[in-house]
Order: sequence, then C-alpha cells, then structure tokens
Amino acid sequence: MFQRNERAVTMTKKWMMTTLCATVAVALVGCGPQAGRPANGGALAGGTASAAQKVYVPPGEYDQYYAFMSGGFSGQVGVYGLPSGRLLKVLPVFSVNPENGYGFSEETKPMLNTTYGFVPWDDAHHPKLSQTNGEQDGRWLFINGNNTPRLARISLDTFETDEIIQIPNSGGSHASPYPTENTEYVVAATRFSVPIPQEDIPIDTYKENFQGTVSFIKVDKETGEMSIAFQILVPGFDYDLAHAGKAVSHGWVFFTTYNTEKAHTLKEVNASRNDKDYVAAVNWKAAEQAIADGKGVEMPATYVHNIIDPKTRVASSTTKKGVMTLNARKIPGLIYYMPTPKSPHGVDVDPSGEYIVASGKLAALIPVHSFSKMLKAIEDKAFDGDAEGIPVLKYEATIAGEVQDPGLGPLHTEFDGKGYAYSSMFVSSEITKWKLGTWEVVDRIPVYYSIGHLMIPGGDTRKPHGEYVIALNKITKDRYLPTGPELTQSAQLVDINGDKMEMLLDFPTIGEPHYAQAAPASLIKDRSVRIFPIEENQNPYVTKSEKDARVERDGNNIHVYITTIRSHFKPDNIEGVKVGDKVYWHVTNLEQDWDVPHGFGVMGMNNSELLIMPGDTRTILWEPKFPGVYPFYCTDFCSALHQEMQGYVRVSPADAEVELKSSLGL
Amino acid sequence: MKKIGILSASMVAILMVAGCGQAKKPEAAAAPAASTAAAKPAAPASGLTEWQMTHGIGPVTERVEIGPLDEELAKQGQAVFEVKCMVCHHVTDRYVGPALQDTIARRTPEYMMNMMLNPDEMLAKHPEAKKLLGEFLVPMTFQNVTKDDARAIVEYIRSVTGKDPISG
Repeated sequence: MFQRNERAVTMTKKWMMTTLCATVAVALVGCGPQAGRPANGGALAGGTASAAQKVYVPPGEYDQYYAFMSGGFSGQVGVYGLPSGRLLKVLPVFSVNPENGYGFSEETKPMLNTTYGFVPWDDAHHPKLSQTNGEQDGRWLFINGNNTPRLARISLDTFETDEIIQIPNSGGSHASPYPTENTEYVVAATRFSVPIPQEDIPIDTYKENFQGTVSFIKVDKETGEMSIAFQILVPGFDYDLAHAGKAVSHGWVFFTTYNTEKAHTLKEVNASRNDKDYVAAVNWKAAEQAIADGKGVEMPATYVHNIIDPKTRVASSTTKKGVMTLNARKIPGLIYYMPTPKSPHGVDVDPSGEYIVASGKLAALIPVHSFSKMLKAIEDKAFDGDAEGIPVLKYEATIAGEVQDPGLGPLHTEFDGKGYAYSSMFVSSEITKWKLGTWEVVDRIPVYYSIGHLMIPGGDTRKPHGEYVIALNKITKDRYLPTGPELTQSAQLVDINGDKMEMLLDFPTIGEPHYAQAAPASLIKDRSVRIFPIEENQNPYVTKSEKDARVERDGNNIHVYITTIRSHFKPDNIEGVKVGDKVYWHVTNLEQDWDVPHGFGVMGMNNSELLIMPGDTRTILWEPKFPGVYPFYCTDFCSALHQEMQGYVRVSPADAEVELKSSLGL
Repeated sequence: MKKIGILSASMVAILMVAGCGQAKKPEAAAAPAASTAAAKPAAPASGLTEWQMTHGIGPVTERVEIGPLDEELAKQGQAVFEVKCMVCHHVTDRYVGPALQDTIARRTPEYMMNMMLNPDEMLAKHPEAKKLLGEFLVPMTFQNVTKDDARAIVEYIRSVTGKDPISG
C-alpha cells in the first residue's frame, strides 16, 4: 500500500542487494574500528544489509511516512521522512527563523506576540496530529510552548504555523496539547503551579497560595481556530503529561501529577517523597455540563491570540480578557485521582481506550489502570480519602495489572495495534515490549542513549499503523562523528513487524525532540500546497503586475511595491530614501511555478532576509542609518541569471532634496 | 495504488529534469540549428511528430481557429498577461524572454499556447524551445494559466503587435 512495497516491485531484488551490499561495505569501512570508533561500535545493533534495505529510499522516491518531531528548545518542528530518516523541513513555530523571515516579516511578527511582549523563542515539546474518530485526519499539527505557555496550530496544507494562543494562569505548559478523539479540544495543564491570579507573594507560601490549572482549548471543526473554553482550577501539584480517552473512555482526559508533596524547593528530593502520586482523570463532558449549569466563574485573565488570516495570509494579534473557570474542589464528579507510583511521567491510553498506562519514572513497575474498573470504583465510592476535596480512588480498585521488571525509569508507552505496548526506559536505555492483558515482557532492545519519548506511527490513536517505533534519545555522546561539545540529538528507528524488535537506523535530529508523530504520506502529501495563486493574493500590499510596481512616501514611511521573477526585481533602482525613513519592502513573487521562491536581502538590514513563495507577498522593514548606495539582491539561487538578480537603493541625508523615484531600465 | 506511486515518481523525475533546465544549456546549444524564421524545421531527430514540431507539445492537439480580432477576448488576455507574463515579455523589445512581435511572427497559435501551458516538457523536448533556452538561459515557467487564458493571451498578442500567428 505504500511506496516501500512498490519499490520491491519496481526494482529487481538482485540489483538492490548488490547496491545495498556496496553501500554497506562502504559504510562498514567508514565506521570500522580503524576510524576511531569507540567501544560502543561493538554494541551497534542492526547495521546489516537487511536493515539497510528496510530504510533505503532510492533517489527520487518518497518515504512512507511523514514524521513530525518537536525541535525542543529550538522552538521549531522538524519534519522527517520515514523510514529513511531524511530531514525534509524545519517548521518555524515559536522561534524566529531568519532563513525565511518568520517572526521578522511584518506578516508574521504578530505570531510571536504575548502579554510579555515579543517572545522570539520557546521550548516546543509535544507535537500532536488532529484526530477524527480517534484516528489521524492529517489536517493540523498542534504543539505546545512550554516556557511561555502557548499552543500553536500548524496547517498541513502549507506546513506553516497558522495560529498561536497564549495560555493564561499557567507556568510551564507541559501537559499539552493532547487532542480529544475528534479534536473537540486540545489541552494544556500547568507543570509549575503558580499564584492564580499572579501576585507578588513569598515563594514559601506555595502550599497555601499556589494552584494548578487544566485548560481545555476548543478547536473549530472547520477552520481549526482555537479558543480557551474553560480552565479547571486544581491543587498546586506539578501536572506533567496527558492523553485523552478514546472509544470507551472518550469524554475523559488523563493527566499525570507529581510533586503532590507541594514542595517549592529541591524538588528532586522533596517532590519524590510520596510512594504514590496521581493520575488525574478529568471528565470533560461533566465540565461542559457544569458550565451549562452555570457553575463556571469568569476570572480575570489576560492573554494574546495570534492568527493568520487565510485570505490575506497576514497575522494579527489580539489581546483577550477573562477566562471561564471551574473549581475542581467544589464541583463533584469533575476529577478523580488514581494513585500511581511514583512521580509518574507519561500517561498513555491503549487503542481500545480501556487501559491507561502511567509510567512512574521512579517506579520499578509499570501500573496499568482500567477505565471500566475506574468507573466501577467511582460508582462504588471505593475512595481512599481525598486530596483537597478531590476523591482519591483505591489503587487496587482501578488497577488492571502491573508490568513487572520492565527496566529502569519507565517514561512513555505507545501501542502497535496488535495487542502489544512499547515503553521507553530512560535510566536503563531500552525499549521494552510487553503484552496488554497479560502484562508480560516479551522483548527488549537497547537504545543509545537515555530514551525519552518513543513514537509508533499512529501509536497514540485508535488505529496504530505499527511497523516502526522511534526512540527519541536524550543523550547522543559517541553515536556520530563528534562536533565539539554541542551535539545534535539522536533518534533511532526500530522495526517492530516481527516478534523481535530490530534496530534499523540512527539519525540526528534538531533541538531536543521530545515527542513526535508520524502519519502515512498518503494522508498529507496530495494536499500539500505548491503555489499561492497570484489572482487570490489579498495581501494589502500586493503588487499583482509589474506595471503596478512603485515607490510611495507617506511621511517618514516609504512603501516599496516590488516584484520578483526570474531574474529581476521591479523596480531595481530606487532613489530618494533618506536617513530616518522607515522603508517597508513589500515583495511580491510573481512566479506561479512550484519551488521557485525568491529571496530578498538589503545590505546592513537589522532583521532577516525574506523568502517569498510563488504568488505570495512578504514585507520587511529596513531603517537605513547612513547615506550611501545599498545593494539588494535575491538570496535564493533561482536561475542561470540569479547572480544578476540585484538592485540598488540610494540613501540620502535626512535633509537632502532628492526626489523619490524608482525604475527598471533596458 | 502502485500505478499512482510509479506515476508520481516519474512525475518527480520530469519535474527534476525541468527544474534543471539551465544545466541543459550545452546540450541545447549543441542541438542542430533550426531556422528561427517561419520555415518548417528539418525532419526531427527529436522523436516528435510533424504536428508537434509545428504546433508544440502539450494539451493543445487540434488547430485553434483564428478569426477576425476579438477585442473582448484580447482584453481578457491582457488582464492575465499583465499579471503573469509581462514580467518577462515585452512587445517590441527583447526582455527576459523574446519580444512578442518576434514570437507571433514565427509560431502557430497552438505552439504559443502549448508553450504557455506545458513549458517544462517543451523546454525538455522541443528543439525550437531548447534552442531559445540556450539563447535566453532563463527557462519559461508555467504561470498557472488555463487553456482559455492561453487562447486569450494569443488574442492579446495579436492586438498589441498587429500581427497574426503563422498558420503552420
């Protein structure tokens, strides 16, 4: 059904094997001990001809899957092809990107606006694809900004960030975005509890004054536009990760908590004292009902919502006030706590929706809760006291089973749709495969080194695609040629088609990938936009024809309406700009052919270049400081005469009387 | 599914060839010289049919009727031309591409339309188009025009040059 299988048809096996053997032979020579590879080279799993065959995508052919990996502290998302591990694109999300002008151009600057002003960076953690009926629908990718709590939506038509919404009443939006089964909501829970509303109080009043929030952000079914529906006020624990219920458990979202000790200092010790913390089961349908019943309280809050207008492709930034809140302590039935050993990190729901796997990162076992048992326990009131008025269910009443001796430091679990679960073991650096229902460990494979998240294509949905598991490792060390003290991160691709996991490939990834998603290429590739039809360009500063190219002065603002086509600008000679002017370059790319962007840079500009896609208009502000003649040029090699694609702008002293004019001459 | 996969792979291959048009310059320059005038090109070594040699390769496979100048159609053509074509083509002067008055004097309407609608393949296969690429170096690009747009642009070129295309 996918490209990889087609290759087997289109290529003779013999030819392929010959090529592969040659490749492997070369690779082996390159990586042999004589190349100075350290001892771990011997631990290299895979690296065989059969592994090479499984990841080889011949020139000109496509990968089977798109993989979206968070760029972590780069604030971006890396798009890779699987099984090749080839980097296809870096999507700018929370961080400025001088490569294409994201966050620098007038059209995109508002995207990074917050109540703290312009924040050009974030720590991007968990990419999540939108779902319909608990399956990937290939429409949008959501990802959270952890540092300055934000949530972004990326269009999978353009692979551009279309929307960023700030999350108020939060500190470190970690348990996010985790969509519900039909993307009714994406969620955002605060990792750091904070005073809500924020106030100037002593830190050691944490226990009395700090609170957490669990936010539900509504996603418009048609447009994807996000709005904060409500926030649930919860005890001041740390809220770590989440997953929405699916199928039988649709209507609930499960969050892990740690620091139920409510420590505010030396958390590595003080937040690790309790034998059990909680999985918080949040009934969002009950929350909707509570709001319908008028139990919500409108709280003051200020946050910023940034969105690209689909018609003009220009971002706007709106400051919003107020948020609807529900106090979990005062509304019975909203949240139940399931005790879970010990400082649980990931919480993952199996494809049937019945099993809730919570990995206690300090625990020696993986507890699996049962959704049906949880409902029964609630009905039977099998409570083990309460935490700040929120019922704590009895551990024995909800537990379905425990995976014994899974390894050390279990963090996350994904599913293959064939009845098996795969859990990442941070401390013992391995992936453990175990069977749902019997809880027996059936296989393990070492990974290099210190795996965090792991990801199976669709492994978090009702219909996993299986085939591979990716290890997103935190430590790289000696896996690649050394590049000084700072290394890229290390991902590994493991084949899970057989009974035994097989290591196939190492590949480096940008930033620090936390989580990832992968979807079949067929779900996305045919929808990918190639050009923006110039007739439909509604940017207010578009120049739709060379005959409209011009320069206009409006006080100290100069608007340059400039066009590009292989291989010239119109105009390419501009005079009459003065020191103190603000020059807005509105560059319209009149090309209508796929993959013919033009770039734009002016000597000494203080921001970034522009990269303008065919049919699009992008604007950059230039404030020249000294008189002189400044060259500008196309930065993206566009044609045989690309080197000729250049122009001059003359800058005169502030009091000069040079007439504003522009030209392009033969 | 398999067929589609192979097809898309070949499409990619074609696109890649087209994208590398400039790199093909030596080959194009070395192609047998054909007359730039209206004269019929020599028997093709290119594997093209006689019809393709005269009328181009692309979606226009039948003769297009050229009647008395249709001012209304020419106006429609002008609107598209000014957005998508004027950036490279002027009426009397060589610009990024050839002057329109030269083009219309040596091409059939079908050839012009196929060049507008299918420039990648024309530049890769048609000796006349390849020769001009060797001369101008910038490959003509598909500007997302429809067949109707292309016909209207021919009419605009007629109106603005005062000439008719050759009949072939």
